[in-house]
Amino acid sequence: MEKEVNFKSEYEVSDGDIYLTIVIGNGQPGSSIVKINKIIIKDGEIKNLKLGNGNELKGKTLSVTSYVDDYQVNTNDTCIQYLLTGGKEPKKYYLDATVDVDGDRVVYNTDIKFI
Amino acid sequence: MVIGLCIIQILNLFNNLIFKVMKGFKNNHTILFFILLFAGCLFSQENNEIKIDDLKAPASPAFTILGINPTSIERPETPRVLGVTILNNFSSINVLPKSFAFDVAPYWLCSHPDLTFDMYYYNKNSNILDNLWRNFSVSIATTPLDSPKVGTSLGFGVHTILTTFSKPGKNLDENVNAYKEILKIQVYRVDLLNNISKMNYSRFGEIGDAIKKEISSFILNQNVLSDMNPKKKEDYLKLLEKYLLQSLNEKRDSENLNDTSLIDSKRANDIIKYIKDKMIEIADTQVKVAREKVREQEKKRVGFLLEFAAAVAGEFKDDSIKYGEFSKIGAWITPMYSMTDAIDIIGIVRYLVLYENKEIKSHKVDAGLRLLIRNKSFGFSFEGIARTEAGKTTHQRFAFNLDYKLADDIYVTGTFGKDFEGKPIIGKGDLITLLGINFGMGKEPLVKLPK
Repeated sequence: MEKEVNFKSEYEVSDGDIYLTIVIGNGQPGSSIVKINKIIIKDGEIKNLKLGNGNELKGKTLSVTSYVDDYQVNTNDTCIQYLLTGGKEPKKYYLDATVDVDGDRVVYNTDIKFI
Repeated sequence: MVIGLCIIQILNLFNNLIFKVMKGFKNNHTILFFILLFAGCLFSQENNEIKIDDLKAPASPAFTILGINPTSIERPETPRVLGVTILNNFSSINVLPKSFAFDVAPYWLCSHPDLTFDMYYYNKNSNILDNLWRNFSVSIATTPLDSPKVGTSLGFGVHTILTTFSKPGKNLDENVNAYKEILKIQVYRVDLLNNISKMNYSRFGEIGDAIKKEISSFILNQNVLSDMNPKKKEDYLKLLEKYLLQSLNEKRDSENLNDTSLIDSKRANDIIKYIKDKMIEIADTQVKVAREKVREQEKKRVGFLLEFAAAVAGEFKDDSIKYGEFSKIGAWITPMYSMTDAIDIIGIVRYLVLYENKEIKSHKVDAGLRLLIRNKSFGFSFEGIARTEAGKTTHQRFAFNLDYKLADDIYVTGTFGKDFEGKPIIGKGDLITLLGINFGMGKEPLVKLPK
């Protein structure tokens, strides 16, 4: 089965370029789709992805959907970190969820508005 | 630990029940053995997917130091987060099992947000300390003192994998990539259903149109599945569309709808929820199959592995803390060479210090070899060990061991052989006859090794 985690937040931009890194932890595999204002810009593993200039991004929404499988036999815990840099200050968003049954999956839906 | 104690309680009740049923039979241990074997045959016919290796708790150093393991040379294993081992032998089967071991891998008791799948699986950016810690386990074991003493022996041990030069199955990379691709497709399935659930519909057919439109936009978008070749990408997405439309059509047929049927937003939500649920069922199978293919390759690992373990044992005469004293301290390394995924040659070099009345009684060194042949339902092994002590005669131990899977979470282990002179496992002689029942905690206990 699949568990859903929904998260909304904001990120304060500045004049510089904004970068995104997504880390799916606990040794679990997963994949993500990154969108800016509903337009897909990248999928798969996301590392230092340039989202655009802060001034251009202001007012837009970063949406990330991530799908994490419980591969590990020793833990049912899944977690994900979104690291945004290049704005007023770097920011890390951390989410976690535990699957009820071995081999279940977690869907993380995250919206971050650039302000 | 709480789970483990609960299981012990349940097992105690089970054992009491069997004991009451068998009360009055003179040779009750034999009858119990055959009951278990018969039950095991029945259970094992139901499901043969789980191999005996999946059930076995990794070697517990705490059991080894107490000298009550069925084998003296244990197969090195990576740890599971929690393992329980319960052993009994023929001579005392008419009472409750009294030998227990608990193993815990502390690494997995807390979250590791920075440990990615690739770091874990391909050992990327991991140093030697990371690997030692990931494979580290702690074990505690108890067993009654040998007669005529009255009291309890307590063992405490640690173990980890020092190094490995082994290779998994040759299709591992291919299967890991296929597994990752399946997860990539699943995230698009989730995204698509999220998108269409936010739309407004007035007729049933519009839902199918929305699905086709979303799939087309994915195919045309170069950022979607950009690391796949276009043909493969289109095939995957068309297959996803097929499953989505099949689920939609199932709903249409079950409710006697057609494409022009009028639907309100509540009805549309119900239909999309039905599709979501059906797609999750399909994903359950697809992801599981891909995941198991990766694990299968991992289990086909062949090559060299080196394990380190250390343990201490103490005796508590009359079960009293004030009479507690060290009885043994030991450390050992266990090299293993897996020739195939079914044949292992395992060695051991063990250093033991034995205490008596709080004084060091002797220093002993064990060196031995074990040949282990295993398949889905059983494991057979033969081991030989020489024990030397400065200025004294060398003693040998030889033992045959058979493990047999009774059910998905239970296997029996039987050992027959000759123990070191003057150190019998049971009774007064050097004959080894041990029947063990092992209750596994989980179907897939093994942590994978770095590639």
